[in-house]
Amino acid sequence: MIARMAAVLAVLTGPVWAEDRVNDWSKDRGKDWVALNGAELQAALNGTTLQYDIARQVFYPSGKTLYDNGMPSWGNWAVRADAYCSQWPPQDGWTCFALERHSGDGRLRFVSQTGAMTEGSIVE
Amino acid sequence: MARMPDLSDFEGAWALSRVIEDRLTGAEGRLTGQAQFLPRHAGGLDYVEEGELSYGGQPPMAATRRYIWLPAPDGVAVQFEDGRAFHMIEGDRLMPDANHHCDPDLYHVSYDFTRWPDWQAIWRVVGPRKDYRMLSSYSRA
Repeated sequence: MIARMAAVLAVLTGPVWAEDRVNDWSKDRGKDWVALNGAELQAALNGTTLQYDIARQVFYPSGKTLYDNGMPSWGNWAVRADAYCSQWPPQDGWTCFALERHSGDGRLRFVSQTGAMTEGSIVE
Repeated sequence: MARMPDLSDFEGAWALSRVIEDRLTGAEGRLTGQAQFLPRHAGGLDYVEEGELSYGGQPPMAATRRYIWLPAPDGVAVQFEDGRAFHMIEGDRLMPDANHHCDPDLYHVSYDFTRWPDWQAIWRVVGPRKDYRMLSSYSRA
């Protein structure tokens, strides 16, 4: 039994799967978060740096954006209607997200059409 | 030459079935669940997997995994959630394979996209305390 349990742990742990965790994207949805319109979105992101859990992203006024989670990548960002849109070479397509601001502490979060969220804090 | 599907073709939900064959103990594990490829605001797709794992007669347990699949000039770069490189999927073939070394263990994966949109990932993991094969089968949910 002990050997079998050890085998279970050996399979479930280790470098490849050590990062497993549960996401709860519905958490706090709609509570204290306010969707930004296009003008607010532009003002919020233009020249802004956001700090995520494990990454940082800079939104340059030129329309370039640098995302760095240890492997820096450059993309393009734009505001289209009331959405944040980004494009990341070598892919051509643009993908758009809603942007919401926490009414209390000003955190920002991107919300995909499927409800997936990424939350960041503004780096002063 | 046939190529693997475009990264954008993976977007959405997939039914996932996994069989784990532990060659050290002879135990077998099975996982049934769902995998989703979700657009990232920073490009590429988040791979999010949730399922129930039954392993070697132990009570079923919830299991989750999460990776990042990023477009790369020659295919798809798979990262861990924290951005560390995991492996590269070469895009110019239907059955790409790759290695990931994490001493003292070796992880080898073979993808099979020949029956798209049904596809498989076969992992072989070998190390001093690990010796197992893991077959993950995906079909559109």
